[in-house]
Amino acid sequence: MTNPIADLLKSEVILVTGSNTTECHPIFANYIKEAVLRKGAKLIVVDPRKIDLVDYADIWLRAKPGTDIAWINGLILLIIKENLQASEYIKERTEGFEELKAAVEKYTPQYVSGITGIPASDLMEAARAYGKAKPASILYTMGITQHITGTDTVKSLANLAMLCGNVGVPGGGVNPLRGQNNVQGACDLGALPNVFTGYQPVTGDEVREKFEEAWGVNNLPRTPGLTVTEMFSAAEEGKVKAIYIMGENPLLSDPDMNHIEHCLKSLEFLVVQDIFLTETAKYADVVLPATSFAEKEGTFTNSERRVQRVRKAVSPPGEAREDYRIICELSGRMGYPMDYKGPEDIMEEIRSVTPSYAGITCQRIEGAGIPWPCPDEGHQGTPILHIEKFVRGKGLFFAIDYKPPAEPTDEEYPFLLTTGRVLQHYHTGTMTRKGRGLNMLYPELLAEINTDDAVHLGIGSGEFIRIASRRGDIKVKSLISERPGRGVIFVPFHFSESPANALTINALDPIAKIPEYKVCAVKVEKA
Amino acid sequence: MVKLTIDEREITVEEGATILDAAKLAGIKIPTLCYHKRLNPIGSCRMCVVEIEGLPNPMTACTTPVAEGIKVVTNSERLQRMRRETLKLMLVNHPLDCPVCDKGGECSLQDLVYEFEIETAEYRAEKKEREAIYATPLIRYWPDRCIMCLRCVAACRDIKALGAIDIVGSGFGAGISPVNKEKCESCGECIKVCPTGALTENLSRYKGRTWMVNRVKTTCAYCGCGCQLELNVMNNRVIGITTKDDDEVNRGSLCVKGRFGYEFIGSEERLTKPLIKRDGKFHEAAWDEALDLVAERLTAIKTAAGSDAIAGLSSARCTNEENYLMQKFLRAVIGTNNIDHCARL
Amino acid sequence: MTDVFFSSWGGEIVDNRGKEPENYEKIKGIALPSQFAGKEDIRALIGWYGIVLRSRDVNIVDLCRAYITAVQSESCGKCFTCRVGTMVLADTLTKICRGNGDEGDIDALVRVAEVIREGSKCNLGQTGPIPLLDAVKLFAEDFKRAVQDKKPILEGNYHYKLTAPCMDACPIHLDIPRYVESIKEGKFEESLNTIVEKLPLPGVVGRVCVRPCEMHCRRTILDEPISIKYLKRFVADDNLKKKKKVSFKQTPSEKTGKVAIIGAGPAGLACAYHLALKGHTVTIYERFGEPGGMAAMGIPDYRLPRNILGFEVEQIQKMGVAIKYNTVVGKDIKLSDIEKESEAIFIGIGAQASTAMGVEGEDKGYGGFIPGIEYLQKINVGVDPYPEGKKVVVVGGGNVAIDCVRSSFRIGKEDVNLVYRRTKREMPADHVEIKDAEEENVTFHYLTNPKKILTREGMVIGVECIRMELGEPDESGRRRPVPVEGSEFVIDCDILVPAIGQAIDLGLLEGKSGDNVKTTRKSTLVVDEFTMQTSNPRIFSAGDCVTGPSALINACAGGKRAAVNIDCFINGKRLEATDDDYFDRLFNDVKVFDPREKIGFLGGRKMLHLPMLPPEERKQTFAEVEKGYHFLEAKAEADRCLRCYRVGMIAV
Repeated sequence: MTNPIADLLKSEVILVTGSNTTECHPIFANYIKEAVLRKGAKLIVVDPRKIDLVDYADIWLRAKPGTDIAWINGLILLIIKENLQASEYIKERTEGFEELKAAVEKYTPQYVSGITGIPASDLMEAARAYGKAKPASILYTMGITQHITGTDTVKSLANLAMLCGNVGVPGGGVNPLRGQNNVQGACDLGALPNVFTGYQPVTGDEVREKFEEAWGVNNLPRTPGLTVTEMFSAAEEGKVKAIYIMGENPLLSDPDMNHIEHCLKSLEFLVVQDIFLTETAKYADVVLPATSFAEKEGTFTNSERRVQRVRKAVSPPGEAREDYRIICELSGRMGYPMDYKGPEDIMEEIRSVTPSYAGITCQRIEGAGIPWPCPDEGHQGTPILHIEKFVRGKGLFFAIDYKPPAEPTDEEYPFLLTTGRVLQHYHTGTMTRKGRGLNMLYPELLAEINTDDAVHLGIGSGEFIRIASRRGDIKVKSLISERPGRGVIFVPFHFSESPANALTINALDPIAKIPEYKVCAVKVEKA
Repeated sequence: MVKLTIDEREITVEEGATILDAAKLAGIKIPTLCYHKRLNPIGSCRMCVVEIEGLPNPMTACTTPVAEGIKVVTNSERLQRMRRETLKLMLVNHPLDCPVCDKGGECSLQDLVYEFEIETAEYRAEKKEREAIYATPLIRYWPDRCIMCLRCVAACRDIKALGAIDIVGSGFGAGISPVNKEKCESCGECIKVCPTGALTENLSRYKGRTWMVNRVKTTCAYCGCGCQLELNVMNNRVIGITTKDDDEVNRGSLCVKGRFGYEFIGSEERLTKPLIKRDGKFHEAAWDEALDLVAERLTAIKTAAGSDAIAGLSSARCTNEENYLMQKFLRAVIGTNNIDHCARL
Repeated sequence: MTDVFFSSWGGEIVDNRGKEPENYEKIKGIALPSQFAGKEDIRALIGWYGIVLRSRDVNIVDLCRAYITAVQSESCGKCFTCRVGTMVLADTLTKICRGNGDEGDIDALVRVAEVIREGSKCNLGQTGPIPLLDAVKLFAEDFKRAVQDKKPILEGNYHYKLTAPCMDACPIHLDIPRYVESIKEGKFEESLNTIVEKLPLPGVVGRVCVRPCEMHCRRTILDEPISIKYLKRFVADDNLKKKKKVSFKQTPSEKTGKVAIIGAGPAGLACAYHLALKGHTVTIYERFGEPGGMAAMGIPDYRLPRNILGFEVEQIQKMGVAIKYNTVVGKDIKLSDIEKESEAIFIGIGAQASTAMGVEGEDKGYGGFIPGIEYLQKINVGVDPYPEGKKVVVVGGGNVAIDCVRSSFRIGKEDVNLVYRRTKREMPADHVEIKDAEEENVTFHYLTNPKKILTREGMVIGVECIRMELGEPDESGRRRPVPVEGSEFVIDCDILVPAIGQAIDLGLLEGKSGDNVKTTRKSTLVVDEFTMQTSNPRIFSAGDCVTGPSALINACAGGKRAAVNIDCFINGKRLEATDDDYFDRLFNDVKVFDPREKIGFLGGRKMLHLPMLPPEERKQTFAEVEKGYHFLEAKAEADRCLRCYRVGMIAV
């Protein structure tokens, strides 16, 4: 996120898109509600589903899944037509405006309406609301990114925000809400194939030299490695022979489950380190018992880039060990001893090689977390990014064109499937499906189908349906509702019994390599 | 800015502030019960009554906006009498089951009764049975313990904007009821603000008195909001979750997962020993055996097929330190950049 | 006649105990009627300002018990003192009345009553203990005896009603404190639901109501009334904005039937709505091509935009009410034919004909001479009534006159005058509207009366007026204007609009069915004041055609009342006044609210007025002049409400 969440209380308009915030980020949703109901901010929701947040919205645009670039360009065009753009800001702080202007020229309300299904008048209302607000904030999540055009869509949102001078100001920003407790931290700390910690590229000679020196090794690999989706394909091809998985359940979380299963079976050696015997762990050669967040010390970094403490409350069950200790043990056995006294010791090393974390010590975040960048111990952290100038200097507008999703519907597969989460469960259900409480509230998978579609197919609420794509099929209970639009099916992916990812398509965004979970073509019938 | 006098001290506050806000700013303590800083003033408990010079009627400090030049008195014989009488009314038919009440020891009513030295339940009224139904199975409502401060109703309305519960009925028979049950998200915001033991968690089978429980502050393990919470630990088990109002990000709020999704920690299904698969079946193994095997196989594959034949998946569920070590392990020990995690999923 | 032997009403003690009736000291400040519902003697009154005792048989302890029990049952439960305290009082009093009282009970009563009075959140708790405290103090012996005797006291007969000054003043008795509190708590939908329980036109009334409620708002004593009208408009607008359907609670009566309604004005619409709620089949006959009656034809768009009225009528139609437009009863269809196919008829034709001024030449049909209602009707359907004219003189001082002058600017007339025979102070028009018209630059000629229409070739060219001065008060209590001899002068104009009053066109009553419907000298329909039934038992009527030109909310209230009685009529129930009706009457006598009351709270929070378009801009357009509240403003305004609920009880 470019801005802290509490900044929403300063926003005049909040645009939420591709985020079912009340269910997936309930506490951030509290801020949206507070901004709207107590501060009087206007809320614009763009979502193919009538999510709960729509109840609080002034304007709701029901865009067809996978058509985001079209409506964003449509808004940009209308804002320019109405002369609501921040001209001074554009002149002083950005470049590429003319190119953007030319690129959005054809996105008239009528044209946009044809692609997205959003009525022209609603688009106009949204354009005026966003364009006139000073400042306005944009929130988005996987509904925007999990498309083959995900990167382009994010850039389009940035275009929109910069157009109105909303980047680098309190109450503004382009704010992706991170879906997992420490996904921000995992990225920050270099658990990515192309960068070391703090996004220092593996291709940079100086960077590599720095790490070689710090780690006391030679010849760190200089080419970017494989992304998660590529790893599994490489396994199938025999190029990758061993995978070491720490705390992930790709069989359920990755697209096209049958394909992943095949990949896992192709491996020579699979190690899974986890707190439960997950669906993925069942394919492992060795399973190592690890610890949950309640059993260890350390830090998490939240969506706001705020580094916060994790503290040990209970001792691990049986012989389970902290993940860091397991890695150290392995490393020693492979000829590279790692002698850390504990997580605090590791943090000291992180600080020494990571400029954005350099000022963050365990003592400093004892009371409250600090948002990076925090270059030294005297620094208070950086709640808002891009103040006064962008990280790259001038903010760059990208001229981007709309592209349809990878798998359009057709006669055989007439429905659009979109996947996501529900309030009561989390990711692959490894944690949330273990206790009584949450399962009392949401015991079994429900696939949302539009009322009209259900009537048309002769499906009653609670009846089982079979959903099939070109890659697989599942049987699930139906929930008939007005939430999805006509022709759209929503299936949560928490349930291994009827895994949504048996249906999804392994089509990736070419840059971010994010799979297109949010759109694929399926057919639906009574089971 | 508005200037006023409270207990003979001159105070300047912003327009729109309440007398209670002004008193807090000046460090003057006015007793409160239904007031909660995250909620719009409720004004149900009448404990914060103050006198304003020249006005015959006392007014509640929490609901009265300041006005230029007023002179406020927060403590007088009359006010103390009113507060004591009101407290006695709160105790009408209140079960004195403090010894078995989950809230015993951190109950605002208990504290006030203690502070004002109310020794007997002087007033009585015929008991009216109120239904103990609630909006979610995860929370139990104890109508007899409920003093109707309405904080829960306000929390559901002001913080969550749901309005799942509300006051139903009138007079002494009024109670808290689910009025929009389907809207309840089981977030427990109501439990959080309940000053007495009228709302308790219905989940944990392991009970512990407040003074027996160790509270460990940590960061929630679910979504990326980064909520701060306290794991309530007794006998090495997490038996509940509490929060503090002043913590950043969530300010004491949690969602249903954060507040009630802790059972997995103590689950019987947790892995407790390393497992090695032989002949398609898992067998428990000692750590040394398992680690030796992993080290041996990875070294063999690295030697035979090269570093890039090995890949690692780190985790968004693990700590920063662990992620750091995992990528260091892959890069420095295995010698590959094949490291990723589920950020994209 | 003074037959009251004790009163503590308003804190003024009159104690005639031990005196002979002929020596009774008179009570001031309250007129207690002798009978309730025309049949029961009122023996005592107990309420917000104290106790009034007429009969010595009334047991004061039991009276207090009954009263406090009523207060407890009405307590909203939102503050400790009132919710629990009144229960403690009620139980203690009950205990005493059953002969189980203890020594300490009376002390406890006083202590608890004091804290409820001083510490309660709203006026129910603040007023509830007042008569009890009076009684314990001034009838100490009676209480002492009740405790000592330990004998059960016979329970008396009582009637009570919950009211509030605003609620009582509202002709349709909207539960104002309740819907205002809902707004304060952000429950806008609930607020609207409270309103539409009684009133189907919240958006309309929220714009044009003459707001008797605000005139009776107790907050006025502290600073200014709360803006009940704008708050009502706010919840209606909020609902319209969110495109939500209003949820009507339809509860069909045992027997349902067909009802015809004549006139789709406020009275007819309210009647239709309440009949539809009871499951009856309703058809409305409307002479114009759109619904609303005077609300559509007589109120300009800048005060009441068409879409607001349209939306609310649409909601009524969605409940199954059919409207036949462009149908004049008496011309296109006979009243007797309607009577044949309906079980009951409601007449709500309003007062849409103009009253004559009694000025030379007004019946000649001069070009440029246009009666006020006709003038507005034309403008409201988008027609300039007389494009040739530029200079307008409107005669009259009511709201129609003001609407005529303000509308004139908006159709491009440049010079607009208003002639009124009294002064601004006596003008019956809404003072806010007068101010708005002044800002828009209407030229006001006060103490002026038209005498003669000046014409050339059948066209108006001016009006001869005479100066007036105020003499002795007339029957309406206003000082009578008297012409000043020899003060004649001429105002040049080419449009003359008389708007001095409206008359009722009774054309529809011609024929057999109508013959049975009695009318008055002023051509209004005669109805029973409680049941709205005319002399023809199957025909009911309300609104301007019964009352003469009056406020829209009165028409709605009349329409609702008629609907309730039509429902009874169809179900074969006796039509009669209810206890509520009699309480209305009683409260009218004893006054729910005394503007001299001292409220010991902090004031200084003034009403939040609506932002308006600037005069120069607004006079060019029919766009709505006032912008509604933002919801945060509405909540802040609602927070000013003192919630003046109070219980009034009589012993019979």
